[in-house]
Amino acid sequence: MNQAIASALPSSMNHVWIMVCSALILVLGGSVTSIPAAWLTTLGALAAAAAAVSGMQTLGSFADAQVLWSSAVVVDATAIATGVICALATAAVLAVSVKSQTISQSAERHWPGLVLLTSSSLMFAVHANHLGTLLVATEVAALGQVALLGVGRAQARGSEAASKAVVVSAVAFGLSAFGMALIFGGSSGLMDYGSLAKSFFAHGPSAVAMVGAMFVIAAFLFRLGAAPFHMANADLIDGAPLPSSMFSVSAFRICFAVATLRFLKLGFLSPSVSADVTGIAQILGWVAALSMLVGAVGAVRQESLKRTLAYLALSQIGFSVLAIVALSQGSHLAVTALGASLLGQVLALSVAFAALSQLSAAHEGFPFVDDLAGLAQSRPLLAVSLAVSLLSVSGMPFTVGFGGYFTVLLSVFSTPLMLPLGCVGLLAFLIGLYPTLRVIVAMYFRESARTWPDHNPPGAAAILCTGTLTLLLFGIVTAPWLAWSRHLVP
Amino acid sequence: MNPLLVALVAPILGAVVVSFVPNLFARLQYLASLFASAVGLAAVLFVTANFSSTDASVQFAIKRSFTAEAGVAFSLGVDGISLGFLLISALLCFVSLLVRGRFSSTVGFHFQQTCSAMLLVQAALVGVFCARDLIVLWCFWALLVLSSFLLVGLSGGSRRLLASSKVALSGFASLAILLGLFLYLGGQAHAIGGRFEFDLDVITRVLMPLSSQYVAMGVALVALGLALPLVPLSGWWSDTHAQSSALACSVMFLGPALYVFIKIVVPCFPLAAFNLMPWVAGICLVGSAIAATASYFEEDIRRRVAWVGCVQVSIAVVGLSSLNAQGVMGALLISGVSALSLGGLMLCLNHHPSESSSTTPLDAEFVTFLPKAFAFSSALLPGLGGFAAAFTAMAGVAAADRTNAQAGMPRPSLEIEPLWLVIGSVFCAIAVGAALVSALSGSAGLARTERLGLRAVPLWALLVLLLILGVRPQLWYAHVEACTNRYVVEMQKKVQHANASPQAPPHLFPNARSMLVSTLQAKP
Repeated sequence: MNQAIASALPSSMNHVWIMVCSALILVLGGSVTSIPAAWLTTLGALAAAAAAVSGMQTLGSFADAQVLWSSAVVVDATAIATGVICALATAAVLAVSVKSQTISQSAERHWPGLVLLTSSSLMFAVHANHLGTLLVATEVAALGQVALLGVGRAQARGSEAASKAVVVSAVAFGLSAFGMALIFGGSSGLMDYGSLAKSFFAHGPSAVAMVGAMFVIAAFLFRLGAAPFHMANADLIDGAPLPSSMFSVSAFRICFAVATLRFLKLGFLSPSVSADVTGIAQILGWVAALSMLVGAVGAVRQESLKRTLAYLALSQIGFSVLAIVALSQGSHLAVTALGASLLGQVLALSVAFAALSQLSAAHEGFPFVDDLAGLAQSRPLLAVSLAVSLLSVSGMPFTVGFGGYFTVLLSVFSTPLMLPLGCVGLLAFLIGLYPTLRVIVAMYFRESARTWPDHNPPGAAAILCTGTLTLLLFGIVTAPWLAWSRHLVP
Repeated sequence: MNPLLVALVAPILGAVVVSFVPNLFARLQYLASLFASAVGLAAVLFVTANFSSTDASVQFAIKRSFTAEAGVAFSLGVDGISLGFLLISALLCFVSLLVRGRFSSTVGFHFQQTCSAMLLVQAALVGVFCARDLIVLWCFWALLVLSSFLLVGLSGGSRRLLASSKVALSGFASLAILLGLFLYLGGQAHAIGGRFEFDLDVITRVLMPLSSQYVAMGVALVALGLALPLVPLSGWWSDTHAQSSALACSVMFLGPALYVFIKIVVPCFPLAAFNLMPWVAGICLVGSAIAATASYFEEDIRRRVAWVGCVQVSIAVVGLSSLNAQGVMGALLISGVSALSLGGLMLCLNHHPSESSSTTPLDAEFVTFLPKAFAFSSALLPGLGGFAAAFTAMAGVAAADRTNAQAGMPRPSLEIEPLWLVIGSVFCAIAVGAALVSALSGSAGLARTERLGLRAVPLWALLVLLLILGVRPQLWYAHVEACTNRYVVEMQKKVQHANASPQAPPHLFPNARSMLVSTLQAKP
């Protein structure tokens, strides 16, 4: 009996089980009105942190990849490492949302359970080893995201965000399902990754399978908000409550990116398919260039801090896609570059949103850039945190963001065919600095009679201090985390 | 502990400490900044005192792997070329803090941030001039641009925000271009040796085809022309000086662009540098003649001083264009003397309404000896360093043909008669001299300086240093000579080598690959 349970629920997925069980407990606990909502949220944060610790332990002693449940899921270092980051990001989101005034009171009690459920689905999407598993896991996670986006106190904007998320999710689901059906048809009825990879590497994907792959990739890009599918993304992040936005750019993003990469590595990116920058790699090259530029230029035009961050996040996605293109060209450094880019952006964006959550609490709403005048005088540590996180998002040296930017650009510049893309990357880097400097100008150079109330929810303050120090420490001591980030690439 | 590390870390720690001292204790903030800056300066003085002037190699070296896979190492060291830059930057930062960092309305509301930014500038300058790895150098340069942006924006004239934006725009544009160039060089090393390398000693052995060298040199010139600045890419320079505080202005004359030009661009693209440099110098001189003329008609003395800085950089580039030991040593001395004299002059000036509340704006007759002396030095008049530097550089330019012929070098493909370069430089020197002296002579009534009292003591020390350099420039040359000679000889070897094998396909050095591979294999 024990053996049967052990084979059905392997210990190497303990971090997932912890998340799932905690989610179910918190969903049930949410209906017990005598338990304060803050307790539930704190419990959720602790559970997610415990899942991350468990994942780290598993990763330390992990040997070979295991395929489970009739090839439906795979347990490998990539899935566990991504799970760890997802769990950590979830813990940070929940810590920030303790006593957050941006989530509607009616949803406060169900919030932590919902976040953990969505995280669990995301983890399954990363573990997916079968097209069916991938479709179901991503759709459940997307539904969770829709719910998370719509629970803000600012009802109108939250509802708008949620309705747009529904549309995005529906389109993405349609594309995924259609694409997977085409792959199924084009590969003589194969659905699991192992068989598909074997078939594609032996004969190359059929034309029908390639068309199907493009549909699936388009769906993933829709969900990641990469250009040219980015139209609704800024509205989603802007309209949602801050913890939801933070969840979207951290846990949601890294899990979807890794799931996309696992799918692409079935054979759609192998040099035999695209020996030159052609085919899917070329399409991804355009996506990368567009995302980097649209993100950077879009951020320049924004007044709202949240929208600024949303566009900078889009630019970051462009850099990650650029690393995928470099990977397709056989650049060895691209593995590190991709991992570093993903990890760096999740860390930097999480800290930036944590800083923003404190601002929103003090400002009673989502601040505009000009509202930050005098922040450095009245709240110096918060100003430093926001400045460091934005500099990191922009890829400035001595912050974690530089590791990602540098390795991505180096892997691109070492591939002669990709030099134009590298130049676009440099241009995006340059343009992307403007919004960051603009925020610094407002905080440090402009004076204001206004005083910012010292509202410090304990969870958010802890996340902010730890996060800022991490951004700086990882920016100076780069080798260990760059090496670790290779785990994030299958 | 390596003294270079102390010189780098002390100001950074100081900046962190100052950030945590509450604003109520402004005097404590000031003392902490001074202490951190002084520790950095003491470490640099220790390096200078223990520097072996006969040794042309890198001294006080320290190296730790940063990211082995990407070939980046935290590598620091100092040689004869970087020593002068290092010493002057540490000295100037300390003196600026001492003279202008007093807690007063000079820096006003943002005193704490200004002190931190100033310390970061000092650390960044030390980092740039000690870095032995391209990416580490780039990172410190980025820190320098960011901290200069803060320094300019925090205090100064009413349009300082615009000025700080210009600093950031030009600085980061230059940095983005340079990053592309450095990554390309790293990629070339990877293509030849199978691994990424950014070590300065290794990367200068990556010898590219001539066509690539021309393109890369052109790109580098645009990037460094923005940062140096060289006319016509210097639009931001005078505006920035007009609006910045004296503290910010004083440390901006020792930018790392000329250093990067000497240490990286010329050795990495030797053939292109050899062939293009005379024309580059010619174009610089035309630009600087325009700048010198413009400076004469400027109403604002800060703008005049800024233009003088542009002209002096151009004269340094002219000296460098000779690519012989005299010319390079002269160029190095010009950049050092220029930073000291123009920085000192800026520290004497007090111009902005926001800065004048605690000071006494003076009429023409009060313009004291100190700013005049700095102006004379900037005007390259004999006896104050500037003249000796310019004379050495011009002597190098005049002797370029002869030294090249002695070394068996070919003639540059884009040649300019050295005499024209010398005449142009002398014209520019006279024009800026006239502009500066007329500004401070009282007739124009443009200058405003303040009584500095005891705070003038460090400025007098700077003046004495300039006097020593003017009377005994050998003291400087003795430290630089060995390294400069090796630099020039290596450069000549590369050019001769290529010239001796003209049949090599697209001017690729025949043994470039073997040189690099053997270097890479010798490394652990």
